[in-house]
Amino acid sequence: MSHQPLACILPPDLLLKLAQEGSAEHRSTILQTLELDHTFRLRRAELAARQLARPAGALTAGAGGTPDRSIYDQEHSTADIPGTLVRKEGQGPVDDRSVNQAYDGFGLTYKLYWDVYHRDSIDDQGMPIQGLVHYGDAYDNAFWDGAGHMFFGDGDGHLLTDTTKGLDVIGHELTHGVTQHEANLTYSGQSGALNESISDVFGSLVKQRHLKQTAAKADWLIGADIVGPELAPALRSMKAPGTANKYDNQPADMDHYVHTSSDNGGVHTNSGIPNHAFYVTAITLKGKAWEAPGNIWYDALCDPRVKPNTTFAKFAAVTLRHARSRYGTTSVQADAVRAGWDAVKVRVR
Amino acid sequence: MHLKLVRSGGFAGLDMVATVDTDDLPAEQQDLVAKLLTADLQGPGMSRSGGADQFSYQLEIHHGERTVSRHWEEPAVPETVRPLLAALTRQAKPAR
Ligand SMILES: [Zn+2]
Repeated sequence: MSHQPLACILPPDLLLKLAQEGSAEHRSTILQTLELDHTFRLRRAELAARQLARPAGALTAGAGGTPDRSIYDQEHSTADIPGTLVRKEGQGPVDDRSVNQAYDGFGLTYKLYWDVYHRDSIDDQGMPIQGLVHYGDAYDNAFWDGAGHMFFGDGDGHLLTDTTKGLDVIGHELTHGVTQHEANLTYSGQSGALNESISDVFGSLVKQRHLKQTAAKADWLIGADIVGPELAPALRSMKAPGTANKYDNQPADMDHYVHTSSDNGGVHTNSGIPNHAFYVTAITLKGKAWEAPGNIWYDALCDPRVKPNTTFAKFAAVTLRHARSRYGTTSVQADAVRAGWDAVKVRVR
Repeated sequence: MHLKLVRSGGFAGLDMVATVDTDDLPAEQQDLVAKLLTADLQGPGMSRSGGADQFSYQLEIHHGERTVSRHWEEPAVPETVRPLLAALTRQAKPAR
């Protein structure tokens, strides 16, 4: 918190401006300083900072930092409401692996968002995290319902296995909730593929952080822990889109963008393009991908300029803008972001 | 009469395709197919906006010269239709 002495001597309006432009850490320091000022000014600072980028979690004084998890057993039904509550926040492990895996996976996902991006759950207001496991019969899927529920199937053992086994899968689904509360990217075409990519990015980051892997050490695979023999070794590869399994047809650049009416315009296919841009950014920077690259992507996701119909190019421009404002115009981080989008042939203006 | 089911979307983003002759289905499912020819059965509640990774099902019923298409999105799939979709999905193969 080396910025604090500087912040103390600056007028509130300049602090406010710094708060808007600074890093999350910087912002929280400044806003804490403002807090010593007038409540009215603090409220203005919060509001203004929120308009440009999310303020640090520290702002919600005293609150946050603990998830509020509930895991329900759907007992193989396809009902779209929660089944039997089997484990809630603070309760110990139960005699069901899927329940415990979902509980733990949500905990690690919450921690990434809280520790690194100062976000308090799905809505940044401490929203309860509800996981519904054993959905359907041998059900080959996990999904977010848009109403606060994450459903997990057991898999048929051929295509997929128990979907709660994938920490990246759990992170992916919760991130759909984050996206819905931020950019609210429309689930079709490029904005839909971007929505999918953001879930893959943060899902992968939850796993990489848990495994303490640098960008170079990580495998950048999605779904490696939930695939059955038919889809082995993984569902997607952020490192090499299109190579994860024998059916994988993800493109790795705009020249190979897939035009299709299936899957809302190939949202799980064209996500390969922004996925690979993130990978190249992270690998160029070498360190921990959840740090600089994750922060830049997170800033962009929360930027009001990223509208529901955002294209890859627009999102790319916003990531570059945040890389520059956070780390400097000529920073290695800004260069890495540019290299990432260049690699996938998305022109950044 | 024959049926073609395409299940698309889902976390895996893999299209699954099944083509079956209705004669190979149990009697109650044949009755359901007959009903679907004339009525578009929909589930309770619409699929919610903001959702992601849900399956969608496209069922084509080929009956002589006629083709009727029905579409459902998870989780708003009617319970009456689920056994048929499950049976067809069991025979489905990934489409490349
Ligand atoms: Zn998804």
